[in-house]
Amino acid sequence: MADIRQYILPKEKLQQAIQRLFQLPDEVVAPTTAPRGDIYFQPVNSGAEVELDFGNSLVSPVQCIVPSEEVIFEYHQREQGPPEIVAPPPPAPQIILGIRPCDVAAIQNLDNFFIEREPADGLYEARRQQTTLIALACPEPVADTCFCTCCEGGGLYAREGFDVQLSLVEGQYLVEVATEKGQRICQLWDDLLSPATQEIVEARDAQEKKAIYARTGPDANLAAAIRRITADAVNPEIWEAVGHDCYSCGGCSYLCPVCTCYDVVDINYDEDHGVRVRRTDSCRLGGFTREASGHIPRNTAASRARWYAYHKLSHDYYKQQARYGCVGCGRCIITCLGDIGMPTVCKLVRQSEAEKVS
Amino acid sequence: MQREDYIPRPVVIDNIRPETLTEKSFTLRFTDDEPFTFRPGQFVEVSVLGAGEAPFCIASSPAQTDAIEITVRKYAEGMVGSALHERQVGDYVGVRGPLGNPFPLEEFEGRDILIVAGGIGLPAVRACILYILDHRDNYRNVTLLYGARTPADRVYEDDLGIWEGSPDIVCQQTVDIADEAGTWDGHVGLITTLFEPLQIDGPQTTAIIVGPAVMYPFVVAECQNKGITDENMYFSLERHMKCGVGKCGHCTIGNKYVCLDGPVFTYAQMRQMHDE
Repeated sequence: MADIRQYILPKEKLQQAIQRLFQLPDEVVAPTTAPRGDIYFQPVNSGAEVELDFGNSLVSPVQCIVPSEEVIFEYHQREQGPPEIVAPPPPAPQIILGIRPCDVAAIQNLDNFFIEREPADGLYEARRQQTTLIALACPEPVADTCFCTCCEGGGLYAREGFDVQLSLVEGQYLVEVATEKGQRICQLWDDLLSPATQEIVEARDAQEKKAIYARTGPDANLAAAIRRITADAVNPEIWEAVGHDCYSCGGCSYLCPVCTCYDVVDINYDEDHGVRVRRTDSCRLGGFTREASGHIPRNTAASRARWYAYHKLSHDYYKQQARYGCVGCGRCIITCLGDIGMPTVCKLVRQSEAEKVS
Repeated sequence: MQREDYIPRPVVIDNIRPETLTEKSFTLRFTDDEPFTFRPGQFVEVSVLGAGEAPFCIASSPAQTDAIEITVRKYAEGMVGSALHERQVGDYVGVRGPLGNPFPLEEFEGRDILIVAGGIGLPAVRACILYILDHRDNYRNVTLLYGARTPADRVYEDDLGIWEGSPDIVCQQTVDIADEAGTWDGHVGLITTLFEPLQIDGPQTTAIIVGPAVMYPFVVAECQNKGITDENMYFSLERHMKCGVGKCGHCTIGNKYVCLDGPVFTYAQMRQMHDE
């Protein structure tokens, strides 16, 4: 990004900086610790609720922009005349504090898909415009399922897509401000910040490099898989094998911060009053492509596994969305009952290449 | 697109005409004075509040801007279609659209047109036929081949009768199975059996083909036999297009969102689809 301003925030002033966010009218969404230790992003009212020493949340904070369910409109049928249809109120401003670089990258995917690819999705766009991202860089891979460094543009700190980014380097925070939305945050912190030095910027790069070399997480090697999938040169037995191990539970795509598919459902509150909602849907579910006739074009787990991989990892979709559909957050690995998260699928695809060549 | 673009326009059901035992045609009249303009091959999302929203092709003439006609088959699993079949004249439903890419009929000017419709594919090409007949001088020979399972499964029987008697269009019908009553004195056989006697100037012909997917490979082979190129065979593909604007993902085939990139595709484009 062209113009990123860099500052230093002493670590002991972070809590003070966070507390000042509540001076803004925006709702602050931040990682919090649930009673049994899980991390959830949710609205908070004070800095004391915020937990910034965490891996990543199982449910991506992307859900604050693409909720798992949202009302499209409310309707009231009337005795006479057309029904009354009421759009929901416009979304309120929100700050997502502590979003990890992989999820920032995912939002860039979503922006390309929901806004750049016409027609833009008005519901997404409205919420996105009202959202400020304060990213939290990873000093090292924060979970043994992380593979963002295998992904396009991936890294332990975000290069773009954030409004503000905090990187913990040698006991202090490097604060980066990339946008006007970010400026608004920084003004709150004016007296807490000092200009960044070249040393801290270089130290962060050194820290990232060291962490990548020391990394022991899964090796997705997306590039090799992308070539094979785009060329349709994957042995069909691979998709049969992946399909065999797929429970068609939809977990991977429900948790995937890049996935965009949704279902549209009317919910009747009573005979003449209800709402139309859209809900996160999953192309891994058996009935995803069901038509009115009952015909299901992709009616095997294998065909759905193949399409899921193709949608995320092919040049054909890259041409439409200018990004590949995986940011390496590793949530599919965590949730998959069949051990066919993205790195495993990539590995199988790579192996199919070897089989074919020999 | 605005946030409101997922909100349907109110329409009132002006007329309901039973076509067959399972299909009805509905005339939906706009109530908000905005003219509704579309091009043949485009579709709409029809809302029955409480049941949901589903895509239907526009079967009426694009010359009409205050109402559209859709033909709906009732399926046990089709919630919106079933709900529509319950509706009465005077009831309100909703419409979003027009959506999707039309048949590029302007590009077909000066050419022979072969329209092949199977079963409930006829409503999807009816707007084309009406448009072409309205601009008849711009086209050379126009032929419609229509096939249905039985005589009783034919839709738009009145139109078929008119077109059979019209000098502007060659209209040939066939049924897979003649009815037992023996009232059908027309052609019996699959739609492909209409091709053989047909005199077609293949390279000069553009084909418009809509019907059940099972029909496509056989019709493609017949068209290719007659010298029609893959670039000049146009199909309207069907998938469950839930949102109609290329977002919800249900209608994808390979890298195409049928609702946004189609539903009209040439056979040459279909061959490039990475699928399935």
